[in-house]
Amino acid sequence: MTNLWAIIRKDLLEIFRARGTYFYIPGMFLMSTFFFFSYFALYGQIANEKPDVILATTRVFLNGMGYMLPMLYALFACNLSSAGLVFEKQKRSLESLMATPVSIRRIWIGKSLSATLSALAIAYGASIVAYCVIALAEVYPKVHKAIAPHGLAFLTALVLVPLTIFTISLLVSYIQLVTRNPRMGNLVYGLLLLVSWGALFLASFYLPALGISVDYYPLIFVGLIVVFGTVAYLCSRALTKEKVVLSSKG
Amino acid sequence: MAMGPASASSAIRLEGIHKHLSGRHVLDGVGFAVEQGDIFGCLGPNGAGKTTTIRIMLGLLRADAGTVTVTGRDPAEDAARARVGFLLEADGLYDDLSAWDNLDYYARLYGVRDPGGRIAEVLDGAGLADRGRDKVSAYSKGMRQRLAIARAVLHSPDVLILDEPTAGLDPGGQVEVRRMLQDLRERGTTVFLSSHNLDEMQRLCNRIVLIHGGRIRLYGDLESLAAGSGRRGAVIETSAPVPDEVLAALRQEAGVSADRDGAAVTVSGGASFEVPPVVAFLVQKGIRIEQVTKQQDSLEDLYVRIEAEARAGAAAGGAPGAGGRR
Ligand SMILES: Nc1ncnc2c1ncn2[C@@H]1O[C@H](COP(=O)(O)OP(=O)(O)OP(=O)(O)O)[C@@H](O)[C@H]1O
Ligand SMILES: [Mg+2]
Repeated sequence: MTNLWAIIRKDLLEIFRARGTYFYIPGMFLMSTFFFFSYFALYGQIANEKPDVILATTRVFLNGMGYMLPMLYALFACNLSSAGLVFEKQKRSLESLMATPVSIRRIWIGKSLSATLSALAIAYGASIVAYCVIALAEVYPKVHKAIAPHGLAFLTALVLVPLTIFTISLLVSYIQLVTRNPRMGNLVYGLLLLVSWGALFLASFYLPALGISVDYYPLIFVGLIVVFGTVAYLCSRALTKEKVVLSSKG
Repeated sequence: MAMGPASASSAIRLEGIHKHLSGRHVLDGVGFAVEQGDIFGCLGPNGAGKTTTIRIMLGLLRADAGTVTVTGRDPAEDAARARVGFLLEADGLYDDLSAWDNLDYYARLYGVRDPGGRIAEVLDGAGLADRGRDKVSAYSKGMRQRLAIARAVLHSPDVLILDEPTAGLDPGGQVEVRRMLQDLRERGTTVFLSSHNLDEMQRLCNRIVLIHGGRIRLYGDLESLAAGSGRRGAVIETSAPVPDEVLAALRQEAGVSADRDGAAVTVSGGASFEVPPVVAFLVQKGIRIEQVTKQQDSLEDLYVRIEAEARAGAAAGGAPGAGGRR
């Protein structure tokens, strides 16, 4: 356990020390503005409605945000962190790490966890800013009522999204560990992204059409976690240090 | 000297190691034992299989056949590497972190007690005490290498495995690294190192193994290897050229080969060659001797000869050489 935390701690320290991170984070926050714009477009249509309508509409919007926003940023940031693994493999500090008493599975899990954690930090940061702007700065002065997303949205944002990101991160880092070409990892990452967004998109399209409430959205995440988690488990059985060493350059 | 069974307490022990990589027979029955307290040198040309051997000793690669133990355990077991320190071909340092943070990371991985104190200690030992907070990206190659060795000894390992620790260093840097290794030897750490630098090996190591084309060509105690490798002799300078009949008698009675070059005679013989009887013989024949210089094969002579033999063997289709196919 201690060395797992050591790996995560060092990775976060490294991300924090790298200059690129300080360009990346504001960039991520800037991107979240499109969420506000879509809300303000909606708000323009309901601004003159009764407070109840404003509240109900905003809550639906915030629920959706709980599902989508963390997922969106976490996925992008997860890609950034897997680039860290590729770099560590190229510089061959990974080979040294593998010669310490740490098992290859711990290294894999540690790297994926630090990717997940740094991604989530950015995602939650962006979500909190978005919530403050919409619920506190915009809606509260008008209706004088605090507004919070649905409990399921919280559950999704705090549990299901992190697990989804973690399993995706496991798969992407596995590919980065055992293949020589980092583009393979990027390809797999792109595919997982497509699958995840495809599932979410289809759900948002078909669930309401089937008369199922959008509150069942979290089930999509559960499905993704089960599928990705199973594949990651199968990968874990095939992972060896030799595979990592022989797929490294030099 | 003999490749007989090593004692059970050997620090590192390889027996009959075979390894194929991409269809090439990279290690072909490699076996040797490093005893506790040894500074053990692994020599060999590029592509000989030194790094592959080291990777197997660190559990990074699995041997196809044979057994390997380090401090009595299989290095593929993760916990078995807790008492082993290492430095690989790439130093594996993190450029974006300070020297201190680099060491702190490994201190955590090894569960070093009192990490702060120990880090300060090894930084000092590497002559980097005042540069500990600098990012490693600002370090010279020599400083990096010293830092990497400091990292390797951070957890006070029993066995240290180093892949070409002085490669790419200027002479001053090499001296620094050798000084660190000698300090370690004095503290009783067993050191296994690979190198191309024969002179360095001769100065540092007490025992060596020479690998060529994935096979062991020479193995044992450095002193007795040099002594037992055949060529031992002396150059005897005389006041006047030695007469032919004295030379002939010397060859016959002392059983040595002797060649005259002006007022000097070069004598040489096998492992049992001794200088005093030859000198006594010449004096007895009334030869005046000005100076005697003992000659012994250097490691370089040995290396060059063995490499040539290995090449010749490979060319004759005998031993599979470095590029031998399965
Ligand atoms: N990943 C690999 N895949 C295929 N062949 C490899 C691999 N790594 C090493 N080899 C081959 O194994 C042989 C031994 O390589 P190794 O790196 O062990 O040599 P070395 O003695 O360390 O050489 P050097 O002095 O250049 O470091 C070489 O012929 C090399 O081409
Ligand atoms: Mg090598």
